[in-house]
Formats: sequence, structure tokens, C-alpha cells
Amino acid sequence: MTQQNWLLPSLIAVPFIGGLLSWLSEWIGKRMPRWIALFTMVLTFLLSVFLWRLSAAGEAQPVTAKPLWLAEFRLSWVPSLGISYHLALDGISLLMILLTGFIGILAVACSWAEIQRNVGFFKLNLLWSFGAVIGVFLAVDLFLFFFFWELMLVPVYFLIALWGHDHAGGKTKEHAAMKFLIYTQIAGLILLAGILLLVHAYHIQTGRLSFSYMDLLDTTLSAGTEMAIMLCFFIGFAVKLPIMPLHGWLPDAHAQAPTAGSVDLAGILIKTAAYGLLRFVLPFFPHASAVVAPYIVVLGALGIFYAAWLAFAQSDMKRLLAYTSVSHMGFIVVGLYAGTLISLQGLMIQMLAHGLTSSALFLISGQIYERYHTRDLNVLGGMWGSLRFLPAFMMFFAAALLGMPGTGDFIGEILILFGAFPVWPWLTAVITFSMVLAGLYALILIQRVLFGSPSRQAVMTLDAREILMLLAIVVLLLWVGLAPQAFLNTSEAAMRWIERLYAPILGGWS
Amino acid sequence: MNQPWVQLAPLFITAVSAVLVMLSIAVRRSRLVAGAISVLGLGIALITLILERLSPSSGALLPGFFAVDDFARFYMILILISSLVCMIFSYAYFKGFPDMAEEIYLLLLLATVGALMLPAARNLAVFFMGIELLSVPVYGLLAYSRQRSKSLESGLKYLILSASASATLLFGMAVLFAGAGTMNFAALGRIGLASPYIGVGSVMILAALAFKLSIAPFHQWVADVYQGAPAPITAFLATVAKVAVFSVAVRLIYSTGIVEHERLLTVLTALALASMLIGNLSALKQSDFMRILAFSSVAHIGYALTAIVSNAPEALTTANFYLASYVLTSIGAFGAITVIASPYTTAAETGTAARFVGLFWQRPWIASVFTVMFLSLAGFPMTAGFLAKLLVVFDAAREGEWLLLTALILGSGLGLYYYLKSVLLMYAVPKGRHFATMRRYWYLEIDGIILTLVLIFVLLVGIWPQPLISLSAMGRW
Repeated sequence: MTQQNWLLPSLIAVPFIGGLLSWLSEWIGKRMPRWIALFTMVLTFLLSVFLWRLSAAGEAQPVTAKPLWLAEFRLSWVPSLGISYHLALDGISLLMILLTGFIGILAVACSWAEIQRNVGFFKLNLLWSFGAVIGVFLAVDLFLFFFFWELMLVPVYFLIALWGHDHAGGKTKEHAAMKFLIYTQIAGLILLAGILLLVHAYHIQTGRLSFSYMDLLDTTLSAGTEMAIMLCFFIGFAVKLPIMPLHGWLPDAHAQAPTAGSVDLAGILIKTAAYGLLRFVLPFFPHASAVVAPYIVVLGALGIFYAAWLAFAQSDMKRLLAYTSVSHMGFIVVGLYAGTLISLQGLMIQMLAHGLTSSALFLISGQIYERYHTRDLNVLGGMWGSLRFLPAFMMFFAAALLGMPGTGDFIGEILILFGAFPVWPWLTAVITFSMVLAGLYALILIQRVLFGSPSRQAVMTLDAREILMLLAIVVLLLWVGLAPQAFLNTSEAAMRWIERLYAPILGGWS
Repeated sequence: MNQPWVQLAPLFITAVSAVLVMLSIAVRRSRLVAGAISVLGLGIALITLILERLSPSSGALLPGFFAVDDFARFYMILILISSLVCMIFSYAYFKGFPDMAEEIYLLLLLATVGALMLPAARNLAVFFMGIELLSVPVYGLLAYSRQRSKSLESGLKYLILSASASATLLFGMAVLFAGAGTMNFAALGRIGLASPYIGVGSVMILAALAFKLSIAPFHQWVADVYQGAPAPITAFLATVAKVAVFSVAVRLIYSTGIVEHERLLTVLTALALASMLIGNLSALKQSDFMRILAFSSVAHIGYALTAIVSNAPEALTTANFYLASYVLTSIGAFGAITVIASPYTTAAETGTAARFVGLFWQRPWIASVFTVMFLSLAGFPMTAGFLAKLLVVFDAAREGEWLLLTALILGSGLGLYYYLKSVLLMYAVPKGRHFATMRRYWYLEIDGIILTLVLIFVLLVGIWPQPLISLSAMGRW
């Protein structure tokens, strides 16, 4: 039994308590919830940075049969079902939590002026969704994981349904929120069925009920069962990621969500699915994953092209960005199922970089919407002359989006491609061409927003808060892009462990 | 060691309270006195039941007819608690009732006596007696606010349909008896279900039970009856009556071996499937909270039945847990409607969803109660409903009931739509102040306190379910 690390539960508790406090503080005034929420997210972020500093001290560990945690926390919860409140941290979850903390600060900051109605309740939902996401990243009891997995949906549903925008095309925000919820909820129940089947298989094998990750790793499954349970898990995560045919909810949810909701969705929420595939699907079902890997990767590759093409054709800025998310998630799928250390590390960097880049672009689209009350690319234009600071930032992030060297996105994509090449040379070569499409949609975005004849004459500017937010992202993105070693070191041990489990099997098959 | 007659104490005490209420009405009409006697009586009955659990009695008074075991005790406690709460809700609800309101307690007590007989019934005769004693007072209760035509319609509808279900039940019992020559559950189980008489009889009994439990396709009455009846009476019908009939159905299904009989199991599976799908589909289009809750109850009984049909080793625990959490949640949901929509204290009684628009911004506490109850019904984490559904999914997955599992997942997906739509209404921008006439400090009154307690319990069970799971696991024979 390792030492109980109380930092882990407090990472989850802080956003939940902060959310409640900021809701209650609405009695005092409108400003109070904002400051409390900001303070809460900064505290969460600092806690995660503190954890990072702590864990960075340790030297490289040998690869063991079971994952080695950097920190653990365990309480008995429902003993009769073998459920415990078990949190644990490794390099992957650490990086994801760092990202969550940072995006959390951004989400609070970007809704500072946008949300004027029921501020306290808004912050409650926002902070609870972050708290639940941190729970997802920390939980190593499958029941607890599912608990947080479901818990993060409701706040986001409220964010979209109550503070979203009704789209001009006739779709309401409630419609989008409902679509989001029903997609993810049905996927969640399929995931639940998978979890329960796995627990049941373990029960048959050992006569003991357990939802513990470490125990369930020992389950030996017949090929058919492994495939069935793997598919349950896979569908559960694929909807959230989203992988191509299951992506229907994402563009609507993004288009109708408030800026903070989009930042939350694109920056963090969809990453939980990649995390789930990485944490559960590959280690639990390496054989079945290896069998389906070629099909899934083809699906991922199709998704890259299909979504990039659709992004190119959108006229709503947020929908365009939403489709680019789908496209980038295709890369993550390829990196994941290639399963080499390089591609897995690349996928980690890609998650960080994409989280930052897409958040930044959603922030920018929010800022444009606040000023011009439209996101329609046909109406916008000529902003280069009429808006100070914003065009430069937008240029930078659009470049990052298409994978310009020097930004984190480049490192992520190049590592994924390098890593996947030995496994699927032809497919990787084809995927490389998607960079052309990425260039197309990034450029069309810049061109239609920034250039052309200005639709409005008045020159506007960004305020200090907005500049600070974007500047912080630029710095981080350059850090990941120019000196990614610190991040790579953090996740290396955990990724090496996954590679050891999965790569030999995949190699043997192909 | 107690005498066996102690087992009958809860029944006696409840029946005696009914007599006392009648006498008190003869002396002087007072809602307070009648209500106090009933609540006190049920409270004492509850205490004797718990005391009896602590020092169990030896043997049964009427073995083969009526015997209280752990399973019966579990359901009797559920019945007593929910009946108690329904009485408290009706006290506040019928304040200002333009006619005599004391007989409500009489009828509620009588129905409770019938309900209490069911979990302990071991014989078809006791079973029938209990179910009739439960149903007949309910006819009166449903039509109690007879100034409203909806209430009359509700009572009449239930009377006619329920009576035909009872007739079916009785005929089924007769056929069964003709084939088996015994009315004892255990003896029926020993004889087996091979004879066609017994098969036909069992199907008829199942159909009647399905009617009482509002299992599809015998569920058509449920929406009109729920909508028309006074809200606390609907709560009674949805909790006490459901729990009691469910408990006897479970005992019947297990002890007569229906659950091992291939064809009858197919019938049960079909009923569960139909309930989950039809219940949820019908609820989609409703715009009245009572009707939504009515159809959702159809679906929920389907979920509970799924656990039974799966016949997993833990199926009974799951069913117990499911019923307990469903009762808790239903009490919360119907209770909240009771508090809001009394026709005698507010302008107009109605569960019409449109009236709940923006409730949260005017009365945040009651809207929070609604939110948690609806989320629990939808099966979201941190609520009792989540754990309950999880256990059902677990049992179905263990036994490889893929068809049922698919229907459950689909049904839950549909369910989300209407539960969340209802919740969302309360958070929308309000259109006018509908709730200005609602009691301002309702949460300091007794029904408000109970509602808050229910809210706390629903969350508590969702977060720390072990105690309730242990209790449910104890409730077996």
C-alpha cells in the first residue's frame, strides 16, 4: 500500500467546492462568482503544477507488469461490489490534468464578460465539469471512472442549453444540447455494459468482484469475449472522441455552445475519450485492439480527410473549427493504434497542442462574436484593418492549426507520422497529404476573416484580459513546440508501459 | 424470542388506527386529529416491525398463508414509510378542501392494510384479499376531489379497469387451482407448471399483475389516472400500490418456478421489453409532468423486471434496491408536485409542464428537488437511480440478456430526452410569476422537511450506496 496522497482528492474537490461557493456568492454580487471561479481554477492549476514538480524529481523507472503510479489515494467505497474510491496518477494523467487546469483558467476568464445572466450558476456548471474531468483522469477504479465520466456531461449540457446561442439556421441550443447528451449518454451506457462484462469475466475467473484497474488487468479473456468487450469500450469512447461516423453531435454542440463551453469541449472533454482509449482499451484488450487496429486506423484516416473537407466548406467559424477538431482527432486515433513509443508520445503532445490551439481559436471566435455578433464567414472580413491585436494572434493560431514548425502541433503530428510509418507505411504516406487540406482550411479561415473589404469601419481593440489569455497560450504552444522534452519525459514511463503491452502483439499480426 | 403473533402486529396496528380514525370522525371532524392518529399508527407499526426484526419471532402464525420473513419485512418497511409520507403530503395538499377531508386517512389506512398483506402472502387467497383491500379504497381516493371532473374520471377509469384485472386474476387463480389442487405458493412450485391448466392460470395471473403494476401492454390506464387524481393519491398509487404488488409478484414468480419455466419466462421477457420501450416512447410526447411520470413508471417497472427475468444470483438484491430507490425518487418527484400544485392553496392545480418554466429562478429549492429526482429517474451518477440502474445492467450483462440490455440502453437514452427536457424547462427564462401564490416558507413546514430529507437520501444513496445494498441483500427468504 503506497502512501495516501491527499493532493489527488483535493484536485477534484477544489473545483466542486469552488463551484458551489461561486453559485452561493451570487447573493453578494455579480463580480463575486467570477473571482471565486478564477481563484478556484488557478488553485487547481497550481496544485497540478506542484504535483508535476514533485514527480519530475524521480528518475526513470523500469517497465513493470503493472503500471507504476506517481501518487495514489484509496478509500473503501462499496466493498460488497468491490468498488473503491481509488485515484492514481501517472505521467499521462498528470499532463492531462495540467492541461485541464490551464484550460479551466481560460474558460473562466473568457466568460468574464460574455456571461451576464445567472453568473453564479454558470460558474457552478463550468467548474463542476472541470472537477469531473479531473476525476476521469485520476480514477483507476472503473466504477469511479464511469461515475465521473457521466458526471461531466450534465454541466456541459446545461452550459449549452442555458447559455448557448440559437443558431440562425433554425436549430435551437436546446436541440444541440440534447443531441450532445443523447449521443454521449447512449455511448456511456454501452461503455458501462463493457465495464460490467469485464468485471463479470474477472469474477468468473477469480470468484471475486472487483472494479479495480490493477485487478482487471489480470483478466484473461477468450478472443471472442475480448473482442466483444473491447468493442463496447471502443464505441463508448469513439462517440466522445469523436471518430468519423459517430461525430454528428460535435459541430452542433460547438456552434451553439457559449465560448467557455466550446473551450471546455474542444480543449478537454474530447481528450477524455483519447485518454480512455489509451488507459483502458489498449492495456485491457491488446489482442482485440491489434485485430481491429487496421480498420480503425483506416476509419481515422478517412475521418481526417472527410472532416478537413467539411471544415473547408463551412461558413460558420465555430463549425469550421469543430470539424478541424474531428480531423485532428483522426491523427490521434492513428497514433494510438500504431502503438509505437514515438507515435504514443506524439499523440500526447498532439493532445496538449490541439487542446491549446483549438481553445485559442474558439476564444478568438468568441471575441469576434462579442464584437460583431456574427460568426458567419460570409459577413466577416477585412478585420486586419479594423481590429487591433486579434488578427496577429489569429494568424499565429491558424498557423499552429495547420502544423507550422515551432508550434506544438507540428511536434505532435510529426511524431505521430514518424511513429506510425514503420507500422503502416502506405497509410501514413497518404495521411501526410491531409496537411494540404489543413493548410486549405486554415488559410480560408484567415483569408475570409482577416482580409477582404472591411464590413465595419470602427476600429476596435482587445482588452488586457483577452490579450493576456491569448499571450499565455502562445507562450505555452511555443514551449511545447520548441522544447517538448519536459513533457515527453513526464509521459514516457507510462507510454512505454502501454507500448510494451500492445506493440509486440500488433507487430506479430501485421 | 417473540410470539408468532407479533408478526401480525403492523397489520393489526394499522387496522386499529383505521377504526380509531373512524371513531374520531364520529366524535368530531378534525383533519388534524385524523391525520395525527393515522401518522402515529403507521409510525408505531413501523417501530414494531423494526423491533420484530431485531428479535425475530419463532415460526409463523399461519404458515402457508401469511408469514413475515426478511423479504416481506423489507417491503413492509418500504410500504409503511411511503404510506406515511403520502399521508403527510395529503395533509398539506387538502388544506382548504371544500368538503370533508377526514375520510382520506381512513381510506389510506385501509389500503395500507391491504398493501401490508401482500409481501407476506404465501397463498393465492391471501394474495387476492390483499390486492382487493388495496385496490378498493384507492377507487375512492382517486375520485376524492369530486368537484373536479378529472378526478372523477380517474377514479372511474381505475375502478372499471382494475376490477376487470381483478376478475382476470380471480379466474386465473381458479384455473390454477383446478389444475394443481392447491393455492399455496410453495406447493404450486413443487407441482410444477407442466399442466396446461396451470400454464393458462399463471398467464392470467401475470396479466392481472401486469395491469396493477402498469407493465406494457397493460399500461394504458396509467397516464389518465395519474393525471386526474389528487397528487398525493397519485404518489400513493405510484409507490405503495406498486411496491406491494411488485413484492407479491416477485415471490410468486420465484416460488412457483415461473422464472425457470421457459415459456412463461419468455412472456416475462416480452413484458419487460415492451415496458421499457413503450413506456419511454410514450413519455416522449407528453407535456404534463404527471403523465411523464406515469409513463416513466411503466419504464421503471420494466427495468426492475429485467433484473428478475435475468435470474442472476443477485437478482433479488437488485430488484429490492431498485424498488427502494424508485420509491424514494418517486416520493420526491410526486411530493414536489404536491407541494407546488395543490388546487386549494394555489390558483389552479395542474402538472402542465408549461407552468414550470423558470421555476428555478423563483423557487430554487423546489426546482433543485425536481432536478435531482428527474436526474435520479434518468439514472445519473450521484443519485440513487444511477446505482439502481447499474445493478440491473450488471445482472443483465452477467446473464447475457443482450436483448433486454439493448432495450434498457435504448430506453434510458429516450428517457434522458424527456427527463432533461423537463428539467431544462425549470431553468429557462421565466414567463411571468406563476408561483407567487405558492407557500413561501414551505420548506419549514412538515412536507417541506420531508421533501428535503428525501432529497438528501437520494443523494446519499447515490454517493454511499453500501448501507442500502446491504439492506437489500438482507431482504430475501
